[in-house]
Amino acid sequence: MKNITSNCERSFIIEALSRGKRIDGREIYDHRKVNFFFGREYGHVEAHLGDTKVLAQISSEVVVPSSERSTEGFLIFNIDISPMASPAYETGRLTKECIELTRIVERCFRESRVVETEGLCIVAGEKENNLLNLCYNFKVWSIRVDVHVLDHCGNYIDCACLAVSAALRHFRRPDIAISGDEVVIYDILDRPPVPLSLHHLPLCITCSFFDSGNLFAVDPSLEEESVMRGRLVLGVNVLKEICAIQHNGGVPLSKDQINRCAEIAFVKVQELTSLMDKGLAVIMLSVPNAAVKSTEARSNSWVRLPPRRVFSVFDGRVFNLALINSSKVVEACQVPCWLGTRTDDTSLGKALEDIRAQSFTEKGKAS
Amino acid sequence: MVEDVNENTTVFPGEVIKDVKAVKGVTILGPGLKRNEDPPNTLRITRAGKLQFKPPNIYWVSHNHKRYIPKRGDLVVGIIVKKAGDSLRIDIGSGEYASLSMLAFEGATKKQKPDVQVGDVIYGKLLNAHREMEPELVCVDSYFKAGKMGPLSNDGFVFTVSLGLVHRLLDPENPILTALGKVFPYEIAVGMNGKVWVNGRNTKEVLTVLRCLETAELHDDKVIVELCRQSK
Amino acid sequence: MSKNRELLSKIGLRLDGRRADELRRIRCKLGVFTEPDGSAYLEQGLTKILAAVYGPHQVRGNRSKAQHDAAVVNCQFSMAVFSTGERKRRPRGDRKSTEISIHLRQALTAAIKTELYPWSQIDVYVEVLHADGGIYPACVNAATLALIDAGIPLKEYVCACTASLANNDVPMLDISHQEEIIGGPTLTVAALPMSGKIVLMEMSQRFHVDHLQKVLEKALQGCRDIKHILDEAVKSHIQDVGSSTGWANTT
Repeated sequence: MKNITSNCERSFIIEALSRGKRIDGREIYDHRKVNFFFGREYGHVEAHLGDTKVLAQISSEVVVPSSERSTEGFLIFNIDISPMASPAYETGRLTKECIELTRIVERCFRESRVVETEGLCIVAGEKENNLLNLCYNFKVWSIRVDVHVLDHCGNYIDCACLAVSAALRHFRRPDIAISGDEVVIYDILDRPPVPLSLHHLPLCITCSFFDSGNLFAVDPSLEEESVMRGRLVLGVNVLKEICAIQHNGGVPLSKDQINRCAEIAFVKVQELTSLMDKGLAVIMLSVPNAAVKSTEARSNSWVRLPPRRVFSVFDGRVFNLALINSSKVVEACQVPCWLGTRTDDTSLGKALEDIRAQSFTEKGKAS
Repeated sequence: MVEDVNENTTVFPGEVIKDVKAVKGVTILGPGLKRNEDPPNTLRITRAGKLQFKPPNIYWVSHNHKRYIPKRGDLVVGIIVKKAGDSLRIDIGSGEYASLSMLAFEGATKKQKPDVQVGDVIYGKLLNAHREMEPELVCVDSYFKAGKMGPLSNDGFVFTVSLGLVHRLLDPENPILTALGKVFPYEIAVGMNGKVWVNGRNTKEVLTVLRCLETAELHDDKVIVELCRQSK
Repeated sequence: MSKNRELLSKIGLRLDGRRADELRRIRCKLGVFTEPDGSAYLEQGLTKILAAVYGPHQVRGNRSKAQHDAAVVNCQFSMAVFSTGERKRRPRGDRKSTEISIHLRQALTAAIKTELYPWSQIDVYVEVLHADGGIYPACVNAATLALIDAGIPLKEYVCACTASLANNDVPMLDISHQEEIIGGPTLTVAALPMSGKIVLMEMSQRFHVDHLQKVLEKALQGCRDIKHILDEAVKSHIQDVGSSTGWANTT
């Protein structure tokens, strides 16, 4: 059941906007508080914009490219507005809002060439060589971006773009080495994975218009969205380039209004990008696949650190033995099958002792 | 098993209360409790919350949920969704829309119906709220007097709070609303369905009431009273 | 993609021989069908569009979609399977068609006086017979003509146009399919030409904000030019219809 907005809510919100106030206490040009939560795996980011929550997860896989573009990789978006986001959405895909969001995200990221698709190519042969084989020998990376809108409290478009941008910067794909005709793909434990090469990083800023277009507010909340008459989404990056514009009817706008929104969008995108940079810088310090000094768990208001992985050298091989979270509890233990011919408790116990000793002594060390 | 019952006992669904106090064999159960068949004379908890007891024989579980379940006799704030002939369909936040007859207003006759539009806000009382039927509202009491019920002015603002806060606000000994009233005058209608209507002299004051109630959800009454005292 | 063909040659001619600010040839006709309440056929260059309008009539299907204070505008966009170079498997229902339907509805709802017909529905069906770039603007223009033919009250004409940048400097008007593939960012604008208000705007790829002004201004100019052309066509259609029923001979 969709919630109906009462007349007094509508007139109050418009009245408050005409005096320059919004019902949640923000100024007209303010966006809500932005939080990023990074997951254990690379490319897993949950972005919070106020109460709106969107999750983005990036994964990569090696595929055969299409025959027309055999030297380009793929960047695939799969966007889903889950019914848990709001009672107004049902299961079943391709609702109007879902399509709109998908198109904006695709236009913002794919059509504006954020990821260098030619750089995703692994093996590119020459087509003229064997017409029969065509592309069977060609290999490219296919990067898949899954976006889920978890909680809809207004303006999930901006939140989704924040999540995708942060995820693209956070993601690392496995490293590869090409020797002649052979390609070796290294596991992330063996060699540190490689970040994606990004040309630029767009973010979306939404301006909503009320009451025949003379009142406007940036980053509408849920109540404001139910009252707004028109919306302008601007996808911009810090280089002052416009990557996507989506103005979806409702209120007709004049050129000056659009220019003014563009100027505001540039200021906003600087703020949001610097927030994202800060969050990513902290997270990148604790790269999970190297022996890490366990730093104090920082209770920062916008970043939650993932648990540390600790490695132990046993039998000449480095492998991942345990996950120690910030409260020093051994969370999970994997004993790889090539530990030895027998996996008895003594060797496992010894390995665990090693880890515990290692993590606690590291904390004591000054380095 | 709940041994002793006091204000701060947190209970979970499935727990059983043994020594049940009764007056002449009658115990009054509020929300969250059900009578157990076997063993006899015990109560079973069905909702998570704090178990409360009012002597001599009243037990209930107080909880803080968001979804409103309609109950007979509740005073609620509703929004008109549709006008259908002689009756109005009202959204009170329950599973189904409630119905309100156009004649259930003070001084309404078939020739003269109240002037309400889709989207207006109504303060009414639930006449019946049976599980299987749609709830029914009225804006008059049994003497056909409206009192404070009826359509609320379109100048105010309507927002949603949790049901726990509603119970706190409706407690006559709660200091929040009176403390706020000492700072500036305002009108408020608190519906048992979690919707609150506020009207004030200007936008700033209405927004202040809104902020105040948002803070009251998370903080104690004392904090709000202190804030009001400081801002005078 | 091969960029060895220039969008704008040194003497200022484009791939199809036009100048940078010239529109393609527009030919249109109103009242091409008998069943629908209004219909139109529009050619813009090689792009050919048919539009049909039914309404206002009672809301069909889902009765709860009806609004108590305005008419519901329902648009359906479909491309014929023979309209593109390679045969299309699905004429409608894929993502691109749904997106264009949504945009069409948004553009038209801004111009139709929907508050005059509560509890009713206006249907607009658009079919692309040949796609050669600038499909969405041509659909909007054709739909406007069909609405005028149906007699539905409009605030203004809705005209749409595309514009782009050549050589990173010169704004171009009315982009064809070849130029879309080879060239740079394309801005599509649907506007109410006489008041200068923009109803829908969408953009692909990216360009610097300094160029936005130029390209936007060019697109709005294009919308105004298209409005003149459509206006001529409407006037001649009214004269035809009027003369056959004897309006011209009022004494």
